[in-house]
Amino acid sequence: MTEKFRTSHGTGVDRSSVINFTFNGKAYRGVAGDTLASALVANGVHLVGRSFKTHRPRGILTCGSEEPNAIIQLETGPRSEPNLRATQIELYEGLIAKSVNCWPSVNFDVLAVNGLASRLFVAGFYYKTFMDPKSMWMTVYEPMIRRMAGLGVLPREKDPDTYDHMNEFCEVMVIGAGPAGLAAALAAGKSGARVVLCDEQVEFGGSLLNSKEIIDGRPALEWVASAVAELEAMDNVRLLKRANAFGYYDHNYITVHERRTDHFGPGAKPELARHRVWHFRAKQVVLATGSHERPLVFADNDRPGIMLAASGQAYANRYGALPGKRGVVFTNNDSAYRVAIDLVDAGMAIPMVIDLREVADGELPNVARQKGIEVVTGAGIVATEGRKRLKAIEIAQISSDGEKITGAKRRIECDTILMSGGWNPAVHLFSQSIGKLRYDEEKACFLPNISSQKERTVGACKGTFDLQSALEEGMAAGALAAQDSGFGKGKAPAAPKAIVVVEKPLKAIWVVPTDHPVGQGPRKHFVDYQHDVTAADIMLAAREGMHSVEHMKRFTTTGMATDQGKLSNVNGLAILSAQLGKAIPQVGTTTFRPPYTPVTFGALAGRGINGDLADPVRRTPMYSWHLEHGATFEPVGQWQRAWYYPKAGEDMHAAVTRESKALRDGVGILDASTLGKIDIQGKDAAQFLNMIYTNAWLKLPVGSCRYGFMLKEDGMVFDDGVTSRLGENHFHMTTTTGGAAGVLDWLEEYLQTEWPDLEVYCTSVTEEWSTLSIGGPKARELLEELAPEMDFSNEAFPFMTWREGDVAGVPARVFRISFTGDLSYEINVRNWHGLHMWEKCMELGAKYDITPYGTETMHVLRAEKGFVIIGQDTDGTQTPQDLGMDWIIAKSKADFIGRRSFVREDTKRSDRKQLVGLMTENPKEVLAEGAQLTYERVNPTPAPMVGHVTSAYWSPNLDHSIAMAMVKDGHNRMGQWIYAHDRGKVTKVKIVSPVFYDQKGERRDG
Amino acid sequence: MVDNFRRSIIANKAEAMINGSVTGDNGVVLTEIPFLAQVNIRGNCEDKKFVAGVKSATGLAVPTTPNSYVSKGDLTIFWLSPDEWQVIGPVDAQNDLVAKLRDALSGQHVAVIDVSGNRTALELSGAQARNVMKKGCRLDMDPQSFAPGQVVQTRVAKAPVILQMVDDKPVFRMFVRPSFAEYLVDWLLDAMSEYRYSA
Repeated sequence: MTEKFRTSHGTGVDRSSVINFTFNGKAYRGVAGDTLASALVANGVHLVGRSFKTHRPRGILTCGSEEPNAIIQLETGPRSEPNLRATQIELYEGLIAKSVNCWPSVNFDVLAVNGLASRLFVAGFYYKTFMDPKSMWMTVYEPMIRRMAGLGVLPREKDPDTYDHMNEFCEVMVIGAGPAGLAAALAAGKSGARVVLCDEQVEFGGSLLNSKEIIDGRPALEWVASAVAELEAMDNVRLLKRANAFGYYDHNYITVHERRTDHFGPGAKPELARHRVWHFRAKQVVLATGSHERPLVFADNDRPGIMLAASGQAYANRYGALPGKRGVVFTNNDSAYRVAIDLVDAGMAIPMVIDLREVADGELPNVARQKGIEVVTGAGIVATEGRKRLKAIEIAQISSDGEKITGAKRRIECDTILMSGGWNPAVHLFSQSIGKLRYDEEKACFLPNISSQKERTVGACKGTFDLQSALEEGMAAGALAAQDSGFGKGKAPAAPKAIVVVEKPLKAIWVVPTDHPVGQGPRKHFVDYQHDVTAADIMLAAREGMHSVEHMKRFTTTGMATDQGKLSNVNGLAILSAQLGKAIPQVGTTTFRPPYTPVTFGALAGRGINGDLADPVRRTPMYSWHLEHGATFEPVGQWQRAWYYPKAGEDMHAAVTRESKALRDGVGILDASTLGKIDIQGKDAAQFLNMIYTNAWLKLPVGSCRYGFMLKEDGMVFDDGVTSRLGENHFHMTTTTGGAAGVLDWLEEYLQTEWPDLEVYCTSVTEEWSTLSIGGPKARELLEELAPEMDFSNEAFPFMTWREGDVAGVPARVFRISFTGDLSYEINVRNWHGLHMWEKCMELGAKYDITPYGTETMHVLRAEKGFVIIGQDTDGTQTPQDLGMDWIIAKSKADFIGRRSFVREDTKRSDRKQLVGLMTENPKEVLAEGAQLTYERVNPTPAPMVGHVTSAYWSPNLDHSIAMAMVKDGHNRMGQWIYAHDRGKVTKVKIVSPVFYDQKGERRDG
Repeated sequence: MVDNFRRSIIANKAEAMINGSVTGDNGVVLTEIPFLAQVNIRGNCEDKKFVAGVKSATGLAVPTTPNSYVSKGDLTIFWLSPDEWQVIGPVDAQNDLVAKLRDALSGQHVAVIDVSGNRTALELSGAQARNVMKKGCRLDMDPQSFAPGQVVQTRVAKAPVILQMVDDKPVFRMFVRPSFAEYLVDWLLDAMSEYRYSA
């Protein structure tokens, strides 16, 4: 396929470097420097997609990130990406692209039949049609709408690329590298401040890349090249191309999405992160984001071949690709005359400019006339023809109020319309920064008005559309921004000299009339191309009561497609305001939200997209041993804890049964290193604990341990653990694994805000200590071998005491505490000795058949004893009394946190949900955790729920299933039968004591 | 006496750190410095007796500028909060340090706690080290903002660390809880991967 529309010019392409690509299954040739869109234009391909609702053929409309029509699925397989804009895809050898919104092909689209029924697809169509029945929302309507819309396909495979983030700080951040942005960066850079200049395009230069401006008597691109070279030579300046600033947040925090490798082709640079999100924190910001040309809203303004004027100019000047053979320019302002002139110079036939203004006597219209172009003023395009490509137009004189046709229609054959409805400054980032806009009547657009952050706006983004002023504004703003951030004296360097061309004001006619009133007859006036919203839809929305611009937006979906309404929003609200008879500023704009252009999820995830790096995996010092010995792991918060250790052929049930019996019969070992640990010291430490815990602490002897509950002020249990007295003024507290950080915060909060007079210091030592819990009747024998110098007799080392000494050659603290009910010791050694201690226990324990057990067996064993797990059996709404643990409240204490709540009526009720044990009628049946409980088997609807199962296991030691539950009035209902419900299954259960095993507690002394 | 029983929690990562590091002028090197002595001190730096006590035990006055550290010989003291400091010393120095500090501060309202096992140290150095830090840390890592003499408590990736700017070669030292160490090493090696190609 030859490039029929390629000229010999094109400042941004290298015609000698050919690139082959495939679009919608057909092979084409482009050249280096092309975008996919420019290569298609060069090949005469304008039909690139189908519209969202009615599947009308659509063509390339723009040359930038605002493109609503040329929406592409790029590549296939795991690297396939939907919804990219052809105008931003850089061509590379072998590129494969297709249109997203057509089936089976862009040339023959089955759903184009929707176009015949387009009267159905009016504003609010989805809301009105897909309302009832509700049950069909997700099952029928949504999949149907998705298939019809066909907005691309996500790959199913894992993303093979990497992504990363970079955090940077700078004094001056300049966004946009057009003339104003380059000038600002130069001025700021010279001050020595850290300057960042980013631009979404492939090259710096902004609008200068597309035009034929002259600066300092030379082509503007030469000035751009020297400016870039000057910036590159500055060590304090960072330049980012292909980098789209997509979010502007508080404190001048700006996020930028950089596409680093896409232009090399998929997978070409595996060593580099494909996309990078930059997080910039800038002292001062200069917004030089330019402007978007505005489409004109006229009859059937969406045919392929209809293009924004300056985009057509860009294709010709920059890419050497003519938009067509014969085109007309349709405008309401002077800027489009420059396009007509350039296109004629580039070799395209432009017989006519149609100008909505009654008079066009500016410099540029006069040059156009001298080129032989017919200028028809006071006229508009009132009809277009051609399905897959524009064939002809009809023009007519229109009334000066823009309401109706006043003259005869004239038909002109052409394949291209280059339209310009004026310019919308790209105020998106300014608006995201919470800057306030104002409406400028003369320029017919919204302009930045009041800044909310340390920010300046320059150039076209500020409504400064002439080049000389933009350059001067940039220089001044760059110098001042640097000065305000502490660099330089604020003096702007001299701006280079551009040729000043005075442009006459535009005339806003928001809807160009046709031969029928808008909304009647066959012709459509498109406002939002991507979402198929017409002027008639907006008028209907207003008639149906959508008077707020936010309501109109949602009702019609104007601006809600992936282009976020860059082209449609101002036209849409102008039509709404006319319909309401209000001025545009009274109607206002919708809210501008990040992202400015779509950002891939991979980029947002960064390195986190790959496996383990998504979130920390916390490992104990013995993790490697567990792994080598076949443990399965259970996530507990970020920790990976050994869950159980299956032997060959064992399933979880078999492994847990074996582990549970091994501890009761011999000796078991558990890695309990994840327990929270806090060192508490100071002369008031005991008094402090006395207030934190519900029980009495003042008289706990040095060398002893005590179990305690912590309550919140409302009297509800929030953490538990054993705390040991290391010295008169020194304690070692343990907390639950998940509660460690929260408990330390709690202690600090009370010390700092309520009791600053107490002399107490709390320090986290969770990871200083690695903890091994050794339990079972043979635990003592093993400990005696590990620490021959320590006396482990019941007399010398009784339950709830601790000793310090040498264990297996390293210093250790040994606590005689038990979470299993059996004789048990917890050995604490320094983190880096944990693995050694574990290995030594396994070595010396071999003769007792020592069995490592995981968290699942730990849960079973503690449940056999009715020991609660905070967070599993409790949920922050249980008092100690609810848990049947009245004994842990010291009645004699004057105060402790939560005490006053026990006099509340609600905590005194006897029918609160209380912790009980449950035994199933069928001993083999294990209840589902979370199963709801009722007193009766058959219940009215809604059923009176009286509680739920909190823990349920198979107990190998009892040969019976056991469960713990919270049951209303449970303590008074011992022995009663109630019913557990699990997804329709009803199980009869008996309320019993939660202590199922060794109720007399005879096993803890071995 | 050599402690033959201690083991670094990331001993399994030693080879990966060597292979993942990039030597040369444009490189970045990641290493672990295990088993350093670390002693946490709580106290009141407005109390002259406290300052004098720490000085007599360590030869150093506790730093009072937030996020700063002081060094002399092989000892360094980090400022961690208005009433919290951490002494970093050479391997096996912790028992001696704790004894000296407790002795010098006896009778005062202080806490002196051996936390040598509570964190291990990772060192990232080389010309690209600053760029690697910028990928994971949200603070300003440029030399004018983070210079030798500064230490901050922050996150690198999602791991909480005490981050010390050792010198401007640059060398960064991250004191990380052992449980996070393997995650952090994996994360850093992944972040360093692009420099293996450009070195």
